[in-house]
Amino acid sequence: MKSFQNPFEYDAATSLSPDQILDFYIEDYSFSRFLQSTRNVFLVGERGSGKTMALLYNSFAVQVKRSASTATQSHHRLGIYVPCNTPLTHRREYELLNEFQSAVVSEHFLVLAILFSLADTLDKIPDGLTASEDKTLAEHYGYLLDTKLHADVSFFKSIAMFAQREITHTQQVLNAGTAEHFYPKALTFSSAIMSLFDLIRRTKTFSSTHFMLLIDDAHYLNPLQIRALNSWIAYRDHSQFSFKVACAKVEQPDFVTATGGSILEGHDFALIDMEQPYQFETSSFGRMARQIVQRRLDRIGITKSPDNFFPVSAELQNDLEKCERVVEERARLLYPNGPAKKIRDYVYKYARVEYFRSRSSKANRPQYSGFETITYLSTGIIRNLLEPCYWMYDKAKSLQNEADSTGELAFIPPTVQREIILQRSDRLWETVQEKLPKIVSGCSQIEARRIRNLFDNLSTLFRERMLRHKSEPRANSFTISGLTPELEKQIFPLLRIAMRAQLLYVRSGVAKDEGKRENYYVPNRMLWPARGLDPQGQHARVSLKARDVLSAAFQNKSFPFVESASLIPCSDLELFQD
Amino acid sequence: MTAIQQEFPLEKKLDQNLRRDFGPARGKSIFANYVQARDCLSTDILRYIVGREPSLTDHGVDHIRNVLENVELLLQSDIKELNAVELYVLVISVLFHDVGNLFGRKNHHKKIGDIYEYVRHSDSQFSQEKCLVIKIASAHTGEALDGSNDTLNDLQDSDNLYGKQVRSRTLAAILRLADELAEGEHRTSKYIVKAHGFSKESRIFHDYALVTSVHPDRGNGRLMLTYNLRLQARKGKVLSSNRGKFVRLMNFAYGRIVKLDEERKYTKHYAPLLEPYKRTSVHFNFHLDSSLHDLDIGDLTLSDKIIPGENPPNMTKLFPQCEPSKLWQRLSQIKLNPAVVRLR
Amino acid sequence: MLAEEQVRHAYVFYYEEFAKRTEKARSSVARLCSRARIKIEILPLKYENPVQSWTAARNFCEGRRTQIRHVLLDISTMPRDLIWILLSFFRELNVHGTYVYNMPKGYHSKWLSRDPGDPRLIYKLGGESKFGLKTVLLVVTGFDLERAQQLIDFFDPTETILAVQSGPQYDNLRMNASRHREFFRGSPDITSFDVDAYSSDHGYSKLQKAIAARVGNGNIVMASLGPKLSAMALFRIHMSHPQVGLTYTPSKDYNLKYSHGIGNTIRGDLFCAPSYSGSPLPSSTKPLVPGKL
Repeated sequence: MKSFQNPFEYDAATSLSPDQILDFYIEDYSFSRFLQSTRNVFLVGERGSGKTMALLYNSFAVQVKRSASTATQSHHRLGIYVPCNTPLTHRREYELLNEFQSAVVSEHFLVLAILFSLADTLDKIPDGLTASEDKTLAEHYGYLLDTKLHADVSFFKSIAMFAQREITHTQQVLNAGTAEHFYPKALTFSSAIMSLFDLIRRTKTFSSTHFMLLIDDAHYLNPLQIRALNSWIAYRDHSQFSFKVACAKVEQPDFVTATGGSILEGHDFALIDMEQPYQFETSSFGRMARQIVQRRLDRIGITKSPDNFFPVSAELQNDLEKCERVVEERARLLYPNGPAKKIRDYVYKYARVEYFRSRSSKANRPQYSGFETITYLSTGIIRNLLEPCYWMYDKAKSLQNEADSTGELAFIPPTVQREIILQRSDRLWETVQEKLPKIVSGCSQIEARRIRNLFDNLSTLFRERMLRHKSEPRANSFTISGLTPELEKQIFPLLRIAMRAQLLYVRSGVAKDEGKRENYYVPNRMLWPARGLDPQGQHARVSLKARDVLSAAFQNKSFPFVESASLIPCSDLELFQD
Repeated sequence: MTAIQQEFPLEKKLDQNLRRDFGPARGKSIFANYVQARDCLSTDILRYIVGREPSLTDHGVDHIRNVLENVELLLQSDIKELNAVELYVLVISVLFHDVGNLFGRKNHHKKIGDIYEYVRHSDSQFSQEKCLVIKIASAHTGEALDGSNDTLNDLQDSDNLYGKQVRSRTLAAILRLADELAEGEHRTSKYIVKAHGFSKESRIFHDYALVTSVHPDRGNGRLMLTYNLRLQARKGKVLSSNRGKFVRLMNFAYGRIVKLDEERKYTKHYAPLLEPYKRTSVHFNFHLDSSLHDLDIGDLTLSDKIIPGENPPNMTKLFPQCEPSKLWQRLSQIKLNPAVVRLR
Repeated sequence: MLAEEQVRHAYVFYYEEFAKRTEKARSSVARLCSRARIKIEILPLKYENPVQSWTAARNFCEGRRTQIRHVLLDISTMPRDLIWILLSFFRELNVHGTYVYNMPKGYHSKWLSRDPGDPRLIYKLGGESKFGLKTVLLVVTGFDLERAQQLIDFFDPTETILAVQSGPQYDNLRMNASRHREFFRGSPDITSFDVDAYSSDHGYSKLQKAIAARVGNGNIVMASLGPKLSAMALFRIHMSHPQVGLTYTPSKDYNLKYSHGIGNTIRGDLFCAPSYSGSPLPSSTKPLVPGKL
């Protein structure tokens, strides 16, 4: 058992207490304003991107703590957290029924989950209802559902108990016997939830409350539940309530409704991509990364900044400075009349490249260290930021304890940073080489081999570029051009598996054609240290032909490399600002 | 190959249905008539409309394709309710509905005949088809025979072609709504808008096209209008000099929303196939520079719903001739004939 | 065994997707039955269609309930989900019997199965979960570390209990016990204990103790990745605690040569009451209930 507290715990958000969530969470205005609006929102992002944290932060349990600390209390917006990754969501008995009955039973499960969460949350609001409101609501709601609610407890408590009783009874009916059983007293969203909202809003406390239903891990819902949810989003106006739905990017549910219609981004909901591109330290993720780590350090009384707590190795720093000087001289020869900005841009582009190019092929892997590097390695995913910090702190603290158990950790030695980075990078390659079929369901051995080929060849290409490319040597993301439906069918399943394994992230960025946006792919930057590459990539994206991607994956053919091939132009840094 | 010459699902469906209903040889021949009209119009007529009316939003090949796509989206799987000939007549009518713009915007819907003759080489075997197409295409805008805007009323659902029923009124209603939905960025040019290349009077139409996105959602019974207004900001605040343009565009949009909703109600009155569309759902997105902001203006839905007792229509306003005092006056003027049989 | 058990009728389930691979084995069984004058029925199931498989198994059980006086269930090569489904039907229909498990002499050194799908709760054996309770996952571990990790990733439990098979058989200590302990070392929400599926109760008493301590405080899901006999123990736990669910992860590919040889044979009553502490299961060859198939 460890005797020290690691400030970089990266536990799932659901394991944190409301106080911890308040402590840890850094609000990002770019999407928090949507979470707090009456708009329906879909939050998409892979594991560790902060979706659950964002929902929980906006839930009543956390907001009530926040308002206690700021002495403001209002029920203008109430967040009701509804988790979907529960054994209840994984039940499959609906598959034994016909289509209509499946849809009814599926909706019933989801409605009960929402009903329980709603009642359980509202029950925690002190003096939410007057005694007479309590009694009236119990009578009316009991009448609507044709049930006698528990009389000895508060109205909301009795609803929660009703939901609990119903879910148990439903499961018992579905589990019983050998036949496919339907549950005849299934509830619908309109009968159970909307009617409850209507009743609640007649009370004094909740007369102008907007309820935000925070549906987490919606990708676990079955297809019929997803359609029901989409229908609720499509059909109702969202003045009384709205949905904030978090789901995984790759397994993003479709937007078809139960009636065969669809919901549209921009019209029915706003879509927020939680995976933020990290281009440079002043990008929004860069700022957020600093704030997250700073807050963690503050919590345990460490006053240093993240950059000072995770310092760059002195050796690396010296080498980089030497290279900057060499490159600056070269730039002055190329541009004797300046301007100064051009020379600065040149140094920015080529200084690190000079470092990597000038290293001996027999040298050890570089001294990966520094908070900037750690942030790049996270590839814009919060958990990927915290996890290596956790293990670095753990290692550094253990080493320190061996020497002097009472001392405080002043910083993480660069050697420890490097060790952990390389370990994690090697482990990620193990996933690529061996583990995909075991950890990603639906990934066959053949597909795993193709993905392995693809990543090996990407790594080779990026290495070649770093060593020899004339204009954009540090590019380490790519777009795919020349996609036909046939090529898509072959390539996209591999990319999806890689995304599910978090080896690859897809982002949206400005395309060559002004104003249009395109998808581009960013391999997990934690892959590159193991191959001696620079995780601090450039803004540029390499354009790969779909045919070449296919050949690389299927036939293990190298990507063609031209020393001076042009890229998606990105001379304006502003292009990629968030 | 132009945009409408590239194969797309509606054409495939038409080809299949014609062969199904008429047999392979005859079906193929009728489909060939469609292809001939399509190719001739796209190479000789449609792309020259822009030259004739340079400030109009696009009425050329891309627009025609968009209208055809909207027909499919509007009907979805219920397209099977149209027989093969009806589908054929509908598609031909879409091809021809805006060709009159070649002679100028005014009354363009009435100038189809000459172009039709040119395309069909004045072949008399197409005379029945010509009548139907002109009737249907003419009804997509303009005035009816009685001088009102009720152009669909002039048509019937009892026409025929190749021995099969053709519900002209239904087809005209579908064309009309599909045309109304053909709005969006593709109808204009961002560059020309920026460079002030369009006439002053037509500028607002192009600005509107740039911000509008339309989508028929049959499954949910709605037409969806989404507006993405992009506003410039300086030092984090919206540029006040854009206020006038913003207000004008919003008011124009409101007018267009009401028009679309009216078209929805109007066309579905005549075409049961459009019955599912019970509401028009509108959403505005405001982008300050590149960042989306929600102004919480709530749900903007226009629907057919009428709640008994709330805002009932006023009969005497709707039918002034039924005003009781006027009726009494008319009754008072009646003079009965003297020979009246008195009942004992 | 067939003669010993006086088997009159044999039913062989197979998955259509693996029909070619299992053809030889089925033919051998058919010849064996023919020589012993045992009627044989070969029943196809669809691996990719769990509804169809479940329905076929249910129809099989219901259709023969009046004819079966005693069933001998050979679970040696039977997938765990099918074992549980058949057991649940037999229990519902009050069919009694014996199970038999033939231990292999050894397992393939490289792989047994691969290309796993998503874990899924078994129809009608998913337990009775409640709102607001944490998820508890119990896994009887096998040789494949990543399968346990996959279950943890899928169910995202607040607590995971690893029941690690004890004993040196099949290189278990290296392949299973120490690898799991090393891999999950330091994870605060993972506890582990040893269990022996080859003991007379197949680990039931220890597993039951772990479950009983948590029933009512969590939504519990159980998985058997280790020796197949642990599946019998888990089913008995489910019978005692119907709130506890059973889960299974199907694999799309099985190594045809995943095991070799036949070692000891273990038998027991299908639904013997779980009062094993101190009274080991009879390991004799006689069935507990007279009367034959």
